[in-house]
Amino acid sequence: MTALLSIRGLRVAYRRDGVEVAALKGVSLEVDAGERLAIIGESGSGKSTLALAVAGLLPGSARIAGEIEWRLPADAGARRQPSHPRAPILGRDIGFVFQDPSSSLDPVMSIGKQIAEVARTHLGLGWRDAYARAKTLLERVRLPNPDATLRAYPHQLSGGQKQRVAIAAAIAAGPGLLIADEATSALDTIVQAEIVTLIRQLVAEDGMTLLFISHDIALAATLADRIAVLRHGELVELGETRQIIETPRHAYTSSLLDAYLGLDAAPLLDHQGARA
Amino acid sequence: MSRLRRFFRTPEAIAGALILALLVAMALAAPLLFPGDPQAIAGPALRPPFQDWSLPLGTDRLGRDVLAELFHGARTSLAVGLAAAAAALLIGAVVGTLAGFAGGLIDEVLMRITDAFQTVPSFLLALAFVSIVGPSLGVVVAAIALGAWTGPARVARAEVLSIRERDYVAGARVIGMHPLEIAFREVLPNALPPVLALSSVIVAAAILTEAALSFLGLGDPNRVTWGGMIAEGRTVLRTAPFLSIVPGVALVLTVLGVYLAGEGVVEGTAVRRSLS
Amino acid sequence: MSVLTVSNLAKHYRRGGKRFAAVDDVSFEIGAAETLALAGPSGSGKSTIARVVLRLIEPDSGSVAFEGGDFLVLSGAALRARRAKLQMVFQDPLAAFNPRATVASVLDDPLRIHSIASRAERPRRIAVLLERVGLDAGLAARPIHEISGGQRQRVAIARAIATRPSLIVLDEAVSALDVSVRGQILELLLDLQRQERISYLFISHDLGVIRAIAHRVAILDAGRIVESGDARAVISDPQSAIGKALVAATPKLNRDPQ
Repeated sequence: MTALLSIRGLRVAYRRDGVEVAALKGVSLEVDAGERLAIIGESGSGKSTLALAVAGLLPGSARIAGEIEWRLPADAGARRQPSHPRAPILGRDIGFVFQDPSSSLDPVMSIGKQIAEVARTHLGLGWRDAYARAKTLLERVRLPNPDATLRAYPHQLSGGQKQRVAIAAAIAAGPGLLIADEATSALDTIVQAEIVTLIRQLVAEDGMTLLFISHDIALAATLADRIAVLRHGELVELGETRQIIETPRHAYTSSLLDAYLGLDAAPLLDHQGARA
Repeated sequence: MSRLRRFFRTPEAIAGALILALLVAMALAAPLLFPGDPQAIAGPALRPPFQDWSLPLGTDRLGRDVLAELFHGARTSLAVGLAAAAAALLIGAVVGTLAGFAGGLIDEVLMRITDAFQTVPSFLLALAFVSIVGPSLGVVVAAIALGAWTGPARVARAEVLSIRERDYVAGARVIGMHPLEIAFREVLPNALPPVLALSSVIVAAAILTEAALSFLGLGDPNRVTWGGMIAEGRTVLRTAPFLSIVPGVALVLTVLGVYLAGEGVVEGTAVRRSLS
Repeated sequence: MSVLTVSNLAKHYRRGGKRFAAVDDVSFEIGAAETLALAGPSGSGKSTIARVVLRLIEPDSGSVAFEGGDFLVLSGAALRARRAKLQMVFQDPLAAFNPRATVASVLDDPLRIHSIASRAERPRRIAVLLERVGLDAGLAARPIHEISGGQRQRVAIARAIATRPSLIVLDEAVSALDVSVRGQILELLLDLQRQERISYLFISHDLGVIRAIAHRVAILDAGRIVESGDARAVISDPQSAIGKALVAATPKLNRDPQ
């Protein structure tokens, strides 16, 4: 298994109001090409910071230490030797899906243009080809009426539909790595399941590597091969999904699993005894 | 107290505060350092500055002490600038909040009134007002405020329209708060930062408008004003330019100080949100 | 006697010339110290129903009876006084408060508005309320944005119970909280329900949470109630299409029994 991405001793700190706040305190992990890795954590765990660091989206004022090493496949027809690793280009090598599609999509640009723009910029396509590709992508993400949707604006779509558009834009240039940062957290249960199914399908079809950031360990377990658990900026446990869910080794992971209110959990009403 | 500390954090705020402090000191010290009528003859006419240390900035066409006039002029400029801006901000904030919060007919009526005042160029409005009612300090303040309140009103209304939809306003309704209390205790204080951001511009404009009115001879004739001094210096601009330059420089520095301090006020009043 | 009786509630909106029903002929009842959950996908009308019940928006037709009296007919000072008994907890504990508020000011408002305690007594009442929701009384002076999300939601609950309400509407009240905190907040709500005999109208799209806290559930689809009944019974064996879809979409951990 070749590692696509090697993170070693990553430390990230933000400056806020003159105080430095450590978001990641030395995280090391490897992501294999083609695998689906979930990063689980609660608020303040640093999971989003990790995603942003990998994508190169941290604000300029953030202090970063440690290494992120990439082993990207050489471009077809590249004149460069593969032994000279190139830095990943956001949009081309990495697709990023944010949590809130209302703010990640440009409200004054048509859907078609936003997706076509990615194809144009990173694949060098002309506008006609780029729009054709955008239409194909809209079909792939299961949006009805692709022709009409190309001309529509974000506010005309529902939350789930907007997120499908965001995913289409993220994979428009055929990236090798797809990062979904809490991509389903703003959606209701049914739409969430649909989007997860969609992501699973697209990742399999295109052979992408998936980094799935979430606070929902059960949701991640339906999608990921391996799960990494973060807490207060540190990597607490990393392992195969089955192992993490059934026999967690760290107490924190156990507590997360115990706290999960699933349909098979005992209802709290029982603990309280009598009903009204 | 921590607000003051936040205010003094940026170099702009410190510079602005220093300039304003100097200005206020000049204004307050004027009757102490230069007791008596600044418009009284103090020496020979058109004495250049830096020659006679009892008349450090020289004398004007009638032999009045320029430095004394400068200090007393500071009182007028400062008083008018601050009073007019305060009046404009107060009227504008109240009108804007009522319009934005009440909506419907009240909003329509208030906004049409705002339109009416806004379409008349504010300087002409001030000019007309002072010409009709007669030049005195209070009238000048009212004249300037009449033209300046519309900007804050629109900004306040826009903020209120957005804040009105927020959860905490709904929360205030749910706990049974009276609508007027909601408007002025919950909504208005949070609508203020952008309104206050206008304050530096309004104070600066007010000081300049007052100078312009005085320059045209419509200021309070019993007071020394920088505008009046600049007007007086016009006739001898070639031979004794310092008579116009000195009050002109004072005006520029004052406006600059007001602007810089205004930036500091915006920093100080804006509430820091924690990003978890 | 039921605490809340909603009958034939309807609310329509116009969008782009078309009229669509956000709430379409909805009726339900909540008894004393009982929790009724409203479940359904987004856009099914759950939040609209909550807002109508709270009189934040007015329905087009239907009636709302609260503690035996017609709630829709009230207005002005009479409505504001009655609001003491019908409170709300929002989803986003940060947006639910004035950004300039402190914990004490948040709890002071309802006490002051409904004259529950004199000015001298209020600080002590606030301390009692904070302790009741599991917070340290010393938190009173802190600005709202400086405490954690879980603590803020506890303050929101404290504000809701300050006026001794009979019914609290909770709109996705734990959805924005960390998983480890959700259980604690739900336990607190159940504890309060048992001791103070408060009814809850609990809105959520998360069936797991509903199963944990609600006695009964009504499942909504496009503004209509398509299924309702005992919460655990409905969730373990849903009959409606939406009910089945919700259950199927809820992620399952499938842990081996320890």
